Amino acid sequence: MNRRAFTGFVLPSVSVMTFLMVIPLVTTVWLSTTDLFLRDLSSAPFVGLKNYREVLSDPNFWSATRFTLFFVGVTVPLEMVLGLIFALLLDRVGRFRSVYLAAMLLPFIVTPVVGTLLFRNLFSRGGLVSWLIELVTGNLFVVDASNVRFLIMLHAVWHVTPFAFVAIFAGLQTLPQERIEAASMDGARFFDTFLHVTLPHLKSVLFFVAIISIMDSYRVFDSVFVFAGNRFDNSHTLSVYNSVEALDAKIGRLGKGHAIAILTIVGIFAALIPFLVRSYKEQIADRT
Amino acid sequence: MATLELDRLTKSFGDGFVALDSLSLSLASGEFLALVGPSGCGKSTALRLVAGLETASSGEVRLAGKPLTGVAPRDRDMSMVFQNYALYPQMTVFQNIEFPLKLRKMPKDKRVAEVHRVAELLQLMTQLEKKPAQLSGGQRQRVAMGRALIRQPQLSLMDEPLSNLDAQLRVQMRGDIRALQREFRTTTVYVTHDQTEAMTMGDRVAVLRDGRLQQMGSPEEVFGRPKNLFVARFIGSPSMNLVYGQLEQSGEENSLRIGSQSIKLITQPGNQSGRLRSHAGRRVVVGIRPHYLKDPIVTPVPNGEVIQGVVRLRESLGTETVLHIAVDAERFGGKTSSESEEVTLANETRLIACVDPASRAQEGETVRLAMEPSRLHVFDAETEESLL
Repeated sequence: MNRRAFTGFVLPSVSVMTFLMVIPLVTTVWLSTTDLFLRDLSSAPFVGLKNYREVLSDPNFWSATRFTLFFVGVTVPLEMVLGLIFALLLDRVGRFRSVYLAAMLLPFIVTPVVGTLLFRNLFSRGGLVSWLIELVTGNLFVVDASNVRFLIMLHAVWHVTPFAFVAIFAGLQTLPQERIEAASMDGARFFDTFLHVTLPHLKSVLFFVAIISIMDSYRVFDSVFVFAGNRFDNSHTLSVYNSVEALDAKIGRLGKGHAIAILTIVGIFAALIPFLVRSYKEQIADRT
Repeated sequence: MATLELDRLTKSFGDGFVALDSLSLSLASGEFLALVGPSGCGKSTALRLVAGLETASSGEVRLAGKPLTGVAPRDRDMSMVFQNYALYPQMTVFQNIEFPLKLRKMPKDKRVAEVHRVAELLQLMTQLEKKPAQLSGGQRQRVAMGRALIRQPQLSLMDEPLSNLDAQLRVQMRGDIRALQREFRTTTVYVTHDQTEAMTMGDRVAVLRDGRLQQMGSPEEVFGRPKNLFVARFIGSPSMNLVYGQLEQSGEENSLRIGSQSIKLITQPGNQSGRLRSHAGRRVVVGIRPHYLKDPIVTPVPNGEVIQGVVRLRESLGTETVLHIAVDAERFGGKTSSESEEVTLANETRLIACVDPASRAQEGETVRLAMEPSRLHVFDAETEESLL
C-alpha cells in the first residue's frame, strides 16, 4: 500500500481519536497543573505539581483508592463466577431460553441510575428487603456506614453479572458439541469436561470480560453516588471522590480534580498490566 | 473385542420423523462393519445410539451380551472417531492421546509408555509437542485415531473419519485404519456415505436408506446380489445400468425383451426361478453393471448375449474406455435416481459400458455389446425387489 492510500485509510480514525481522546487528555494534563476553581473559570494559574502533592497526601484519596481496589477485587471475580454459573445453567435449558435470557439481562438493560434507585428503595425504610430483614432478625434495618459498602458491591454484582453472563453464554454457543461428546466417549465426567473442554474454550471470553469489568468497576460512580452521596466518606470510590472535590459548590477545585483523573487513569493501566502483558504474549505465541 | 448386537433399534422424534427404523444386526468379535448410505439415511444416528450419545426410542444395544440401555457413554467402553476429529485444541498431541488414560487415573510412567507406543504406530512421534492447530488434516486424523486406540476399547466407532481429507490421503488412510483394526482385532462400526470406502474396508457392509436396513452382507454379496434396486444402484461405480424390460417365458427358457431387442436369461438351478416365473409377461427392471458390458470384437464372450446401440460418447480413461450407448429402451428413473445426469439431458436411454481400451467403437457408430447372461439382474418394477 502506498503512503497516500495508507493516509487515506488511517486519517478518519486518527482525527476522531485526536479530537475525542488526545486533545481532552492533553487538556486534562495541562489543567491538572493549574489552580482552576469552579467559581472562577477565567484564570488558571500554573502551579506545577502542587495538585498532585496535595492529592497524594490527602487521606480521602487513599481511602477512596483502597475502597476502589477492594470493590474491584471483590465484585469482578464474583460477577464472573456468577455469570459463568448462570451461562452454564441456561445452556442446559431447552424451553423458554429467550425468556430466561431476557430476564437475566434486565438489570443490565435498565438505565444505571434507575437501577440504582430501584435497588436503594429495596433497602430503604419500608423497602421490601429491609422489611424482610426486620421480619427475620427483629432489628431495625438502616443503611449506614457499616453496611453501605456491602450494598454498593451487591448492587454492582446485580448490575454487571448479566454482562459477564451474556458474553460467556455467547462463548458457550461456539463450543462444538462434538468436542463435548468426544470427552464423554473418552470417559470424562461433568467436572472433567468443564475443566478440560468448556473452560479452555472460554478462556479468551473470560479474559475479555475480566478486562472490561475491571475498567468498568474501577470507574464506578452512580451507584456509590446514589447510596453514599455526601454521607459516607468511607465508601467513596475514586470517581466519587473526584466529583466531590471538583464539583462541590463550596470547594469546586477543578485543578485538583484533573490531577485525580490523571492518577485514576494511571491506576487503571496499572491494574490492567498483568492482563495486557498476557494478551501480548499470547499474540506473539500465536504468530509463531 | 466383543460382539455387538442391535435389536430393533429405533429412533423417532417428536414431529414423527423416524431417523432409524427397527435396525437389527449383530457383529462377531473383531468384525469390521461398514454402515453406508446417502446422507439422512440414519447411519450416524445408529452410531450415536450405539455410543449412547442419543437415547433410543425403542430397541436395545448389547455389547458382549450385556444390554447398554441407561449406561452413560463414558461407561460403555467404546471409543469414537469424529468427522471433525474433535481434538482438544489447548492440549498438545501427547496430551490429547493421553487424555483417556489420565481420566482413568493410570500412573504417569505407564501413560507415557502407552502414548509413545501408539504415537510410534501412527508415526506421530515427532509431532507430540505440537498443538492440533499446527497439524495437517491427515495428522489430526491420526491423533484422533490415537486417542481412540490407546485404551483398547471393546468397540470402536468411526463417524466418517476420512471425509475431510483429500482423495489421495483418503485412500492411504483407508488402508492404515484397516491395518490397525486387524492388529488390535477391535470390533468396529464405521459410518460412511462413500460406497468405495465401505466396500474396500468392511468385512461386511450394511446399506441403510431412510432409516431402514436394505441389505447386509460381505462386499461381494452386496455387489453381486443386490436385494433391491436401491442397493443395486448405490453400490458400485459407475452405477448399474437399469432399464425397463418385459419378462417372457417359453418352456424352461426365460428371455428379456428390452425395447426391440431380446436377450436370453439364464438362471442357475436352485435360484428362485419361481419368483421369475410368476413375473412372466410382466414389466421388470433389468440391470447390468457397466464393467460387464464388453466389446465382443476385442473381448469375446462365449455364449454371450448381445445388445445393440449407438455410441454417443467415448471417454478414454487409459485403463478402460467408457462408452455411452443409446438404446431403444425405457430408462428406469425410479425414486432413487440421482445420477446419470447426461441421460436425463439427452432424453434418451443410454447404457454405460466400460470396455477394453483396444475397442475401436467410435462416436456415432452402431455397436454390439456382449454380456454374460448370468451377470444380469432382474427387479420387480413395483416393489423394486430383486427377482433372482
